[in-house]
Amino acid sequence: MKNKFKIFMIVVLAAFTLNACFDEYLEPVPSTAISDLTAFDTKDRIVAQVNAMYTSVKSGQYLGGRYIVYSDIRGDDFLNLRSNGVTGYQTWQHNMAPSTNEVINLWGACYAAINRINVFLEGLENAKQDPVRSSLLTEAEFNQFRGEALALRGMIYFDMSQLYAKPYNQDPSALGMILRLKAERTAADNDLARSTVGETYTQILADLNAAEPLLPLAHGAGTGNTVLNVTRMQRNTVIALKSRVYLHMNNYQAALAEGNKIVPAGAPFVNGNGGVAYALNPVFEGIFEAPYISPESIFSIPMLGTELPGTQNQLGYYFSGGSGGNQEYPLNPSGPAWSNYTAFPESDARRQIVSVVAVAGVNYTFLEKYPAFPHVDYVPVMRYAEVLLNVAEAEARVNGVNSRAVALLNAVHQRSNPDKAYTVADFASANAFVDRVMLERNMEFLAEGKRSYDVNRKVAAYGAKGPVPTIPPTSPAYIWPISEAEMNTNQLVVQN
Amino acid sequence: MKRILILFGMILFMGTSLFGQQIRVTGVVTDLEDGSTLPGVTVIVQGTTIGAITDANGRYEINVAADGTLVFSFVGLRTVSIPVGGRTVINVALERDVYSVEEFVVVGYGVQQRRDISGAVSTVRGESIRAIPVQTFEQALQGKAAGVNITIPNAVLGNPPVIRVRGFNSISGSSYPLVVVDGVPVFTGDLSRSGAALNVLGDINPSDIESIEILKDASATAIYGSRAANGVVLVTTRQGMPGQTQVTYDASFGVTSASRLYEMMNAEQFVEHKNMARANVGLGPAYFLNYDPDGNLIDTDWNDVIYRTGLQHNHSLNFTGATQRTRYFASVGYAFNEGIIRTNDYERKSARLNVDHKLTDFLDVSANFSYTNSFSHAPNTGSLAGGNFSTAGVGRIAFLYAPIVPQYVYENNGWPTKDDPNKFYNISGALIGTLNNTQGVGFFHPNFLFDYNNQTAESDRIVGNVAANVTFMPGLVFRTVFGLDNSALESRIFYDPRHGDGTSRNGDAINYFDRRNRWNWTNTLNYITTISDRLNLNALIGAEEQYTQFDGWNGWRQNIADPFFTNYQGSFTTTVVDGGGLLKAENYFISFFGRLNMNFDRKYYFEVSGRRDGFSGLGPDAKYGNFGGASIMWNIAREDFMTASALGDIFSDLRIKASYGRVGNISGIANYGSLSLYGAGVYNDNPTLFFSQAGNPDLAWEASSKYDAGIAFGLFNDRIQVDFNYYYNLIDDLILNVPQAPSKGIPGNSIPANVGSMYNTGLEFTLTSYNLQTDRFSWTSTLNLSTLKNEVTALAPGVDEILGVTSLETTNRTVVGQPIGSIWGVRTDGVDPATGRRIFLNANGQQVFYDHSAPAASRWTLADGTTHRAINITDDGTVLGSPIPRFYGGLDNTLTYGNFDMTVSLTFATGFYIYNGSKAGLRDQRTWNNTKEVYEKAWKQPGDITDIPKPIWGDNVSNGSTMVQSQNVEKADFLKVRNLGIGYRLENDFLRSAGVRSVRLHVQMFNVLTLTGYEGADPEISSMGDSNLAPGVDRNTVPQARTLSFGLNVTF
Repeated sequence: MKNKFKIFMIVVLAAFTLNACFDEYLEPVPSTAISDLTAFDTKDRIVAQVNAMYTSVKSGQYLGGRYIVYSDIRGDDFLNLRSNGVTGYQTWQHNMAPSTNEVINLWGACYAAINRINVFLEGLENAKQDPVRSSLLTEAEFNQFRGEALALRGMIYFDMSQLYAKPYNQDPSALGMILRLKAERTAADNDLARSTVGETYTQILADLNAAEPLLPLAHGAGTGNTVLNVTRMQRNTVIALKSRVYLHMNNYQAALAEGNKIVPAGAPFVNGNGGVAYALNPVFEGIFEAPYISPESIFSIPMLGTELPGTQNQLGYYFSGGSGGNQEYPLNPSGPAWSNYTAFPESDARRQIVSVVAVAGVNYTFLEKYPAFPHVDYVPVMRYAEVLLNVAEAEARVNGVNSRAVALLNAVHQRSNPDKAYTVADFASANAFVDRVMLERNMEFLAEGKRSYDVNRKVAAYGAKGPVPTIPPTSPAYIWPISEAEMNTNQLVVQN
Repeated sequence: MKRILILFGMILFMGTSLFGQQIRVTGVVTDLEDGSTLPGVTVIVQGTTIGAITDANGRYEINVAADGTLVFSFVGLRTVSIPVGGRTVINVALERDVYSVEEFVVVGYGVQQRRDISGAVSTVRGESIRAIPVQTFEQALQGKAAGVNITIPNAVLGNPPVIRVRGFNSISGSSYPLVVVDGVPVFTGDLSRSGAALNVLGDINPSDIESIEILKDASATAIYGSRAANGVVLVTTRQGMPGQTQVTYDASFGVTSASRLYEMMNAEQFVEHKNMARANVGLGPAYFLNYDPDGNLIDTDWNDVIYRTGLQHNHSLNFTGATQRTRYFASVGYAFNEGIIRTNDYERKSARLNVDHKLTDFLDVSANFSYTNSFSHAPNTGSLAGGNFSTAGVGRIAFLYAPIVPQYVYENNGWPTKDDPNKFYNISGALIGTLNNTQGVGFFHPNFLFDYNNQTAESDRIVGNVAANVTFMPGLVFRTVFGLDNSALESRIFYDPRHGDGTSRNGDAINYFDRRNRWNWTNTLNYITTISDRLNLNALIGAEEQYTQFDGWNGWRQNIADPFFTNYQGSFTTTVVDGGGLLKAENYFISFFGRLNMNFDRKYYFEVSGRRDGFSGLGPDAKYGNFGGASIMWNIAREDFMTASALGDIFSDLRIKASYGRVGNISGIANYGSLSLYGAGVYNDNPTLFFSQAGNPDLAWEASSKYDAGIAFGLFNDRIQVDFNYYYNLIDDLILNVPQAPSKGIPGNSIPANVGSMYNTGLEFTLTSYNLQTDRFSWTSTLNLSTLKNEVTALAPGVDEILGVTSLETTNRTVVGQPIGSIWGVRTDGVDPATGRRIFLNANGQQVFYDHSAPAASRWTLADGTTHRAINITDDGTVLGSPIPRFYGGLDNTLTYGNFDMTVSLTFATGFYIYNGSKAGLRDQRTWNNTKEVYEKAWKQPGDITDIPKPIWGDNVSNGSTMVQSQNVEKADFLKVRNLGIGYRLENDFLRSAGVRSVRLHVQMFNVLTLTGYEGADPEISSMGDSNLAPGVDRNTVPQARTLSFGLNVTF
């Protein structure tokens, strides 16, 4: 009996003791994610975070596709065939509410990217101050990464302003963006008021101006237009963006000054400022063909079969009538550019990349800038052609319609329509010239997300299309409302 | 030496004869419960090693002193000691041990006598659910237990039932109870990653279940600590039965079909109605009647295309028996179910072996193991959580498509069908063919998807445990149990490149493999004793560990080389690097617990239990939590003043009880939820690293304070038994994903924190009445009634509401002062008889008229014609009803007459609302088909009084497609005849001579009849499955199934 008792006690004690000795299981370490404490511990991790900022920008809700789509379909160049609320129907109709998916999702995607940038900037700064981590990068690398982050942030705030705020030229004192410039990691700081449009643009320019000297002239050796130079920010990317921003502010002097940094005085317009070299691609169609890196690509969002932006985000899904397209948005035959057979005759190269597809028995013309399937077409965010037309417009505003302005217009126009050469005499005024440039931009950049930029900065109306009426700048529908999710959580935000 | 021994033996012999004359005793040992004779029972003369064993007929013979004592023992039966008292014939009926006796109830880490339980525990006997033709056992629990509300979301096979024990206990976490099978906490829920749902509780063969206990109040659940707040479901599988080996074969064959389908417009009505709607905005006709090559009108009822009469059959064979030291239960099972949706199938193969063995008089060992292979196949049903707006979802296809186009055409359009080269799918481009109609008629072609797309889930799972019980001294038992639940689950998706979901990626094949391995080790020490004959003590202490590993990965191939290939292993040109299915995590619990039950003279009861849990997912400073509960009970029936009085004749049982406890809910805490993490990805083939999780190191469990009070009584020798309970459950420290301003860019726009509170309160009433009991006829009724009131009392600071969203709609809001998940939308006020416009009410209650035919800017007008801003949820939304039943219950009646038996089960619920979102779709004035009701009742001329507005082509506002509207929120009170079963038992000499003990034939009908004013598919429905935040949504889901089955049960 005594022995049985002893054995019994040993068994019980052993069992309970064993139960208590797996305490390390209470502190598991995830094997598929990296702790915030060690995210800046190696150069590879820091570089990976730089890449991640671009991935954020590549979100299907933003530059991965939808931002481009929204900017175009708000205009009058496209019809809608699918009436699908998931694929921009409300945007096309100018029927936006704070709770509309587009309003909430784009807002979220842009600010998610901004916070990743801010978190990175803060971590980078801490690493620089840290005695150990500061040796991970060279001074030039610290600068470059900071420059890339700032350039991206400036670009995002600019893009958001086009949808969520009144155009700068309409009212710079109107409500602009909520300027989030600090890393957010905790539950604090929900409330932050909107800055004015003017203040937003000041911040955009501050970011871009700060980025310019920090960025390298090119990624890697040489000035060729490589994949890295198109898919990452370098000095000329920021200069091109600045010409866009100043033009939006009707600050033609500055737009011209920026443009002149990368556009030579006379034809042929081949950039040779020591940074990445640009020239127009000889063939219009070639810009949109693999490998999608042409001499005129300045900034593009890269796609791979393994890195698609997700269903119903791809440009081809919206615009293409071909195999991978869902035939959502055919060209509006009475759209301002497409209907203009005088300026853009049938032979114009830009009219050639289309398909005609019957949908429910009716023939529609679909623009085929993005025919690849799966949708691996790069998203062209900025092309040299845009900078040339920016400079043309600024030149005419600053110096009057001169031969350089006209030559810039011709460079873009004649690539697609070699038979037509404009002369200074064709334009009675700078206004007439700018109108012509606007028309050229409309045709040139169809389905490239530039339409809202151009309507907004002219404070023009969004034209009628099908059943959708004209939206004048005075209409509340002229800009989007602020996200309902923001309204619900930020006590200081004021609705448009 | 030899002599001495002989002498010594003689002295011994003489010694014994001095005390008692040896006599020969014979007898038969029987089973008290069914009277059958028991072979193999050990009969020992107490205090000696002299013994005998009963023969095949239960007979024994033994020599024993006339004043000696015989001890009868047999595994699974209670050992009895009987003084001989000079008798030569002693027949004994042995009582069955614990689990199999009605009066015993399984509780956490033990068993207790029902009358001794002071907590709230509901028991459902295995045999009462075995015959019901359901796929998984929880479906059969509907209406069986007070305070337990079970909803089958719809008829999709493998879609797990929504189980709520005393209401919703969490907002962000799960309200699903902990399920423990034979002591092992098991995985639950739909674990499939394809559209083919696989509720893993289906891995338990219902015919293997002995009993199911549902622990409801804190006194019963506190011993499960941090996982107790949602209630605990204990499943006990069958053990070997003492007696002769018994072989039972159960089979059932059934048919199942969709109930309550919508009646849609036919071809003529569709053409007339839609063209009229077009004419109402000045458009010409777009739809036309079509005829097939034989000149017959094409009039397709898409319900017939989507739904079918499914066949099912179910077989189970089990062996049960026991020898002197060992008892065993072994079973094999096979089930095959065809669902009501075409190509939706479920198959289960299972095997189980439960063995107990008495190794020595102080050591018992046991092993329970089950292996199950489950397989599920489904099209895109659009009826699982988050899928309800899927273009390919068949729930919606059934009522959305126009009847004027056929499924098949006979002119070569390039889309030959799988089985007939002269028959073609009616497909044109990416969509179903429109023929000569100039507007759309639907989305993808369902038959093509049925034929070529493929979604499956297949699981191999072993659940089991080995245990040892060491009885050190009477009443003191040490038990160690090592259990495991290992699940390997493969989910597969194949989308054909030519049509449907796969076109945008030119065909996809996605395979997922998920391994979930859990071990669980429990050690307990239990001491049961009685002091001074009156103070009964039962003390338990224990320690438990549980470790779980999740390991999942997937591959995604796209861009198929040739449509010939139909699986992952075929030829594709693109392989996606990260298909979004990677999962690698682990978690660990370490716990210490204890319980003390005491009662004085079975009159005054006190119980206290507690648990300390450590969980790996919590922050470094908050790893451990303490939980506990206590209860008291007074058994008045045993008081002298009762037994001595006339009341004692009436009340055979009378107990009052109360309990309090504080328990936790861990379900809202992710495995690494406290950590701030950086995730990884790629950018143009370069690795990326980004801030992906804002952790909260202070995160702790949700805690509930549960209060319970009750009275239980039995009348007239327990002919009537009543159990009545009141409970109040206050949940504070709710984990809420505190929404962060999206402009902060926090990943997921939320950070979890322990904020917020809500309560559930209600009354539960259970009545069991043995109405009639004669030799040939018996009638038993069981009624249970429950009330439930839920109210959210606090949300996170600065959070006024939490949205409940389906895949596209925001249908519910959780707001302070209202029940969780209240349906939220704008109010409407009928249809203007003068103009046929839908009348909305703005935030101020003003009538606003909507005319879709007007220019966009002037569609919304006040009664005086002035334009009004568009009515919208943000400005005008309000609570439209709570989807939580205020009152629900069930009534079971069991009748037997001779060899016939009949069971009728009713369930009901009242006081709740369902958002009938499908109705919005059914009245949509775009290309979608509408119900016959719309055809008949839509407003046509001034003076028409109707709730269906004037049909305007393209109008998706007046009907509710663009936002939730009150005309689509309906009262959903219902009474259902859940199950009707009729059986006949055959037992006769002829069968016996053939070696058959009994044969039972039965017919079962499940989901027999529904009485309700609800117009949707079914008042018990949940498009969002188990969701706490979006319950009561009926949107594009398939309906419920009605099943008729014929069964056979043969016992050898």
